[in-house]
Parts: sequence; structure tokens; C-alpha cells
Amino acid sequence: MDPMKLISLLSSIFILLFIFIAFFSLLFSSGESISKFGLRFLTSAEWDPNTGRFGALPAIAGTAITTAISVLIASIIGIGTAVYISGGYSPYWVRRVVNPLIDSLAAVPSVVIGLWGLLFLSPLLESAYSLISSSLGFIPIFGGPARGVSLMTASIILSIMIIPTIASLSSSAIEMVPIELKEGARALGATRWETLRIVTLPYASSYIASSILLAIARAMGETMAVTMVIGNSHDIPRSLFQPGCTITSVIASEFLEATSSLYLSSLMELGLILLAISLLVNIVAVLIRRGFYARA
Amino acid sequence: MRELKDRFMAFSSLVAMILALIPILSLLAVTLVEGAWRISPSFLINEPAPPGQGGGIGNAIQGTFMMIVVAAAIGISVGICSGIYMAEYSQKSHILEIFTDVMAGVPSIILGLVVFLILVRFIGFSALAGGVALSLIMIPIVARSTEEALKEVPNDVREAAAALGIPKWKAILYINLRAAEDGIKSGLLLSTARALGEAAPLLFTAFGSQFYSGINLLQPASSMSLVIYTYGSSPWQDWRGMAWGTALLLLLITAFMSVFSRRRSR
Repeated sequence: MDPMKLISLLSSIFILLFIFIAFFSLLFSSGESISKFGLRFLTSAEWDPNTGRFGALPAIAGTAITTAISVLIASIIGIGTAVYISGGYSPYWVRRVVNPLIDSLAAVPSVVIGLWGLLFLSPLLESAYSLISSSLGFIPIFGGPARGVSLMTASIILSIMIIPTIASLSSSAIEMVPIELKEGARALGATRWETLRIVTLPYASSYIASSILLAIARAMGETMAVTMVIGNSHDIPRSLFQPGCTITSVIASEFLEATSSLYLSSLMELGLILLAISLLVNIVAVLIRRGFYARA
Repeated sequence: MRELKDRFMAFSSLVAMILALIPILSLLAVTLVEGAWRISPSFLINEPAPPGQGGGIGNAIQGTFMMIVVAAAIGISVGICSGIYMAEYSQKSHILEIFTDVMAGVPSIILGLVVFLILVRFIGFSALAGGVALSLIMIPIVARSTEEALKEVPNDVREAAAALGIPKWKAILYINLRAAEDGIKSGLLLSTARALGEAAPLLFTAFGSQFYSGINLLQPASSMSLVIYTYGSSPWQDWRGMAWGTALLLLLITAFMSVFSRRRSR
């Protein structure tokens, strides 16, 4: 037997097993919380370590809200950037300058972005929020006293972190569209925008969709930067400008304080929920991307 | 009218690109301004001190180094071996590829929880556990880059080796891996840079510490990323300053590594 085949097979088996190890170790350790709360865990907003009642609704809602807002912002800016860089609008040197900058944003550690968000960005945003809530405060999501550490700040920080994912994957998708198709459209008299709208973007759409799914998975799982700027409050937020929490921020900020086994087990169940959702999103994203490669 | 619409889209996509660039430029500038003047020899050597008494991040630098060594030892060996299997042996490599990509997408805080459950509960908070958690981040990145680099090696090379009667494992070890060296090394650098900046998996594994832990891997250890998190969230000005200094240091190290890896891969 080839010795290298054996060793490398074992390594691959480790990767295959890891997902199952992760899932089942979280499942077993959240057993106490699952048997005590059942499905109520997902719908209860109460989170009180003193009385031993735990409900995940604020955390799940916080993750859903911050992910939705950040992916919305990042899709617009990220696809816009990709269109500018690769859609025929920019001279070549722009690409040479912008691509490394976007890549370097992707390489900045999450804690560093969190530090910048907490100490530099959130004071700036707080004054912006006050302005908005004094003029548009009658709209419920903008009302109430505005705070720099809030759901909105967390969403903005998240959008900054996932823009590189969407921008660079979308721009390579646009570049992978066969040049005959693009030039054909231009030769028929289409403007650059019409070429993009009718030929390039539809062709690249499945790949762009998979980049957005990957961005969703990243936004849900992002921990440090969000924990630093979201304020970690378990109250159901009345406005985007108030502190909230996400699944990751609750785990990160409370895990070491969890004294009772039920508390620990509830945090593990939060982890299990996050793992299950992100596995699902990732698998779909990976399959879509592979389908695109098979076609292109 | 059609021309006008085209101009309008050119303009709005330019605006989007500028909006995408503002945060990274601001972050780099602010970190440089806030961090540069805090970095000094005593900052790089000393242990942390109470607010107002100076202190440094020497133990965090040492802790980061120890954990990266552990993470690299595990991550590189498992990652490269798995990459070899996918590229050279497996008939159905796409299933392994999907699992590897999905593993790369597991949120890093979950990796911390899993290592807590399967390791920390038995050996306690330690640099070793922190290193294992970081290795789980490196494995899928190393595996995929190794696989891709090996698949770039032309098949003629494999056939020539086989024709000379070289056993397959020898050919892989001495010929294919050599040919794929640059791509593999760039994957190693990239994955190490990723692991260097991660804090979430370390919270419940390495735990953090205020002291030099010696070279004992079974003691809790601090890391630069943990320093940025705890000191940056503190209310004291000089602790926040230390977080900025550490952030600048971390940015410089990761930037250096990724520039180096890009030069390699060219």
C-alpha cells in the first residue's frame, strides 16, 4: 500500500468527519436546553440567567436584521464596484489600483475593523443618527434615543466586511462571460449599460448570486467586529439606532460568564442554530458556484 | 436618451466604487495615526500594566507566536495531505472539495465552541487549544490551495515519472510538490495571515492572560487579536491606545505576508 495514499486519505477523512463532529458535539451539549425549552427557545424573548429562562428570539432577530441590512448595502455597493471595474467603464489603471485595495480590506482582521468601528466610526454615526431620528423620528425604526453602538452600526460594519466578497467575486464573474457575447452586443449597437443589462449580468447572475450567499454566510457568522459595536442588549430593539445583539455576539460576550449548565447549554444551542443555518447557506452557495464553472 | 442612461450608470457605479474604498482608506489612516506613536521597545516587550502605568503586549506577541506555530504544524500537515489526496488519488474529488469549502465557511466562533467541547473541557484553557482552533481555520485554505496548485502541474510530468518506474508517493513528494511549490507556499502564507488575525476562536480556548506563559503550551495564553478586543472595549484611554498600537502591528504583519504571498504566486 502506498504510504502517502494512506496518510493523505486520513487527512481527507478528518475534513469529512469534522463537520459531523462539530454538529454532534454542539447537539449533545445543548441537550439540556433543548429538552427544557423545546421550540419555545426560538420564540421566547426572555433571557434571564438569574431565573434560568433563556429565549433566542432577540439574538435570532438581531442576526436576521443585521445580515439583511448589511447584505442589501453591500450588494448595491459591491455589484456597483464590480460593474465599474469590469463592466467596461474604467480605464485599466483603475483596476490595478482598486483591486489590491479591495483585497486588502478583505485581509484586515475582524478585530481591527471592530476597533475602528467602535472608537472611530460609531461616535461619527451617533451624531448622524441623532440628526436622522430628530427629523425622521416618526418612522418607528428610526425613533428613540440614538446610540453609536447599535444594530445600525453593526450592519454598516458588516457591510464593509462583506463588500470585498461580493465585489471581487462579481467582478471575476463579469470577466468570465465570453468576450464574443459582449462584443457581439456592442457590435449590434448596444451601449455599455445595455450590454451589461441584457448580456453580461444575466449570464453572470448565478455566480453573483452565489457570492451574495457567501456574503450572507459571512455576515451571519462574523463575531468580533459585531460584538464590539452592537452593544449586547437582550431587549427587543424598538429602533435600528438602539443596542441589540446577534447570535455570535451573545456567545462571544456571555460564554465565559455562563455559570450554570443550563446557561452554557443555551449558548451551545445558539451555536448549533448558527452552524445549521450557515451550513445550509454555504452548501447552496458552493453548489451554485460549481454549476456555474461547469457551464462557463 | 440611451447614451444618457449609459452615462448615468457609469457615474453611479463610480460612486459605488468610491463608497467601497472610503472605509479601507479611513481605517488604514486612522490606525496609522493612532497606533504609530505607541509602538516602542517597551511596548513590544513588557507585560500589560494597570491603566495609566504603561505596560506592553510582549506576552501577547509571544502567545500569538506559540499558537501560530501549533496551528501551522497541524494546519499545514493535514491541509497539504488532504490537498494531495484530492489532486492525486481521489476519483471523486468534488465531494471532498465541497466538504472542504463548507468547512471553510463554518463561522470561526463555532470552531472555538467545538474545540472547547472536545479539548478544553479535558485539558483546560491553553495555548495548545488555541493553536488547535486556529489550525481548523487553516486546514481548508491550505487543502484547497495545495489541490489547485497540484492540478496545475502538467500530466506529462506524472507520466514521465511513472515511465521511469518511480513509485507514486515518491513522485508526488519529490516532483509534483516541487513543481507546485509556489502555489502551495502562497496558500500557506495566506492561511497563516488569516489565523494571525482571528480572535473569536481564541476566546474560549486560549482564554487570554496578563503574563508571559513561558513555553508551557498547557497554560492560558494571550494573543495580539485578544488584546485588541479586550483593551479596545475598555473605558481607559491608554488601554485603547495599546489596542491601536497592536492593531497597527497586526496590520503590518498581515500586509507583509499577503504582499509576499502575491509575489510568490506570480
